[in-house]
Amino acid sequence: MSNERFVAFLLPQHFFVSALTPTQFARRSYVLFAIMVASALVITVRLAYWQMVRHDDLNKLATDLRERITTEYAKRGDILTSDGVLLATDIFSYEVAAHPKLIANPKEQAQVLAPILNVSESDLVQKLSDQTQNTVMLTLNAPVAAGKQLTELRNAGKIGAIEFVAKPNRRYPGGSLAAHIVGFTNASRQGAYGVEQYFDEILRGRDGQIRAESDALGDESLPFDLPQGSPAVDGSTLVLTINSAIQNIAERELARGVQENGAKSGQIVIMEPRTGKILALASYPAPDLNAFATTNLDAYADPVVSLPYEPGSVFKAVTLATGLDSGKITPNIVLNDPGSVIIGGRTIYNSDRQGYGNVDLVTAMAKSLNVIAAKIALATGPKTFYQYLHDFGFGAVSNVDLAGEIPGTVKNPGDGIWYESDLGTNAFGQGIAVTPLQMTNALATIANGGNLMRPYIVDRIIHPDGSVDVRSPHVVRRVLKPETAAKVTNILSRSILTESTNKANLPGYTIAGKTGTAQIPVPGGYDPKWTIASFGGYFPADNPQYVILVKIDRPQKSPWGSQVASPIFATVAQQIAQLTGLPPDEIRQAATKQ
Amino acid sequence: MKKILASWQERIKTRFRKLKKQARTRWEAMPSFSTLRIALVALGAFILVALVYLAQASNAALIARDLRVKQLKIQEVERENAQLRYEIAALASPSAIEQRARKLGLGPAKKVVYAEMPWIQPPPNELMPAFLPDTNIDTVPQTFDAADNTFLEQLLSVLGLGNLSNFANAQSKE
Repeated sequence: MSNERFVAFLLPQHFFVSALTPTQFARRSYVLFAIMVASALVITVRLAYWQMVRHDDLNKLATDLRERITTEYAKRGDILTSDGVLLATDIFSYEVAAHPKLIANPKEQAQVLAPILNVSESDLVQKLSDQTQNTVMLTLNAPVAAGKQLTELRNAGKIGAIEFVAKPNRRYPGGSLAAHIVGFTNASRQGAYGVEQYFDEILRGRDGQIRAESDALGDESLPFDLPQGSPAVDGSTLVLTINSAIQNIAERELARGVQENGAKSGQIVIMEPRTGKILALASYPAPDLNAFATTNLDAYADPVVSLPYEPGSVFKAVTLATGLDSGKITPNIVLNDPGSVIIGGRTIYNSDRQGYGNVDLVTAMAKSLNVIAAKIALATGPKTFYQYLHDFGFGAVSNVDLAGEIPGTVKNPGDGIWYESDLGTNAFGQGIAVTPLQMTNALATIANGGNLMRPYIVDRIIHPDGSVDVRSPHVVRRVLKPETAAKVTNILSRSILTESTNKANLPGYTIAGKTGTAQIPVPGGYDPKWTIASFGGYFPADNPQYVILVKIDRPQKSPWGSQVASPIFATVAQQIAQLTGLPPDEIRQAATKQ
Repeated sequence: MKKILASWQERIKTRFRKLKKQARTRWEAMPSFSTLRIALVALGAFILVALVYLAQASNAALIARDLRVKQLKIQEVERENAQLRYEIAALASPSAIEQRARKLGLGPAKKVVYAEMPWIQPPPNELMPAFLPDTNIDTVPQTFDAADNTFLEQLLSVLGLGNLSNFANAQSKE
């Protein structure tokens, strides 16, 4: 085709009426064509630059604008009792924020939001009208129902510029039930005290990171892509050894006993002697776990494992066991009690400053004679005596699965702070610091025939994948011969029947135990007024199923363990027998003989 | 010979010309496709493919949206479940139940009577509480008597030796 024809093809006919010659016209057409081609080339190059060279940068910018990386919070594991009562769980609440600069009508929005968020309308109006802020927090704890309502309102277009995010919160349905066992989680969801702290890693799980597409206000239901990332892994569930009913009995009777006796505080520990399972662990006063933000943190420290005390005469059961097991005394021995004995230059008296002459071991325990206890320790000898104390677990942690356990204090011969007189005083539980758990575990050792068990409070751990770790009883060591344990049990049970002032009687059941009335050490000596009244015992004596220690601090009504702690023991034991259907000894023994 | 070769050459050339003419005739007889038509067909095909792709992509996006909405709904329901579970546990806690029981006039049993029914002979372990560990029950507690002291110990005590003699000495010193 010739040039003229090409031009004629492109242009309308009347354009041929021109002052230009066809050659000039063609030349100018070529120039125009070249300019167009050059422009197209420039545009193409720029497009290539933005779409190829700057592809990654711009893609990232676009992705960052429409994608949000949100944390998917892991659900912290639940804590349950052995009978399935929920002690700790996660619930959800909403953090709600608004962008005041994007809200056209704050009053209208406030009217809609106030009943949903449970916040006063005037407060909301003030916040939503604040044009100086880009974002204002409306509430940190809107209930879970609020989230659903806010979603519906947003979808219906009735609210705008509102963001809301669900966050987990730890809650304790039982309030103060088993408070010291459970512990709590702080604002950063870290466990503090109790099993919450001890098993924090297992309970916590692992938060996930989710990349989801959303609009500027966080609405994630956009039709682009499914969220990607690593999902959260929930924490494992703990099932405790404690029984909720027994725990409730212990807490109720402890509270009543402390209040009736005008005491400062108290603890009750209930264990299964054969296994070391802790069935109840009560401390009074007990804090409300849901109110940790407004409660003194010291209230959450568990005195049962972290507050040692001088056990007093309850410790004589241990002294008796060491004397019998070492062979230094025999069950039928008769010892002389002149009312005092000098050991290491220190005179040891009975609590009533009286002497009782020749007494057997049952009478010595019934009358709680310090002199006899000291003589038994003297006969045992310091090396053997303190070896037994170590074997019983005193002066060392028991490795119970609770946070904050401390070992207590036991002086030992040769450590530089022990004196010979300590042998005499330690024999009746003075000058030695033990925790209530250690004392209970020592009694359990006698009750189960001589094995020191490791106490434990978590029975099994259920992982999110369904696997279960079951924790088994663990025998730490054999402390006593079985026959020795039986002899000690026999003496303790007969001493309770003999003791005229003791109130730890449970009709139909034989109880073995020992009262204690311990002085409280103060700088320079002992408090002249206040005592720690306690009773430690187990039943049924011939086949112990429960070991119970009751400890009441500074009772006002009476200082004596037999008057303050023994009745509480009897009440708790009776209710446990009724709860569990444990028949009286006579019926049970008759049935087993058949 | 030269003539034969020349005639063959001439024949081949004639034949070639004839074939070329036939090819041209056939080519001219075929319908002609202009560039515009080809471009239009290509564009149409492209648009068709694009439409199919767009339909698929839209469908996938809608499904993704549905899934995401359902995921969010599931999360919402799980949160509500957690809240309900907590409320149930709070109402079912031992102290809450005890409070309600006391309001109804109930309280701990003051006395429990065990009725013996000798005509029913359950196996011994049925009398034990269900959650207690199965154990052999020692029916008779161990007792002890004076025979615990061996003859040797008694002899030594008479002679002022042995453990017992130490006690006797201690008593005499006080």
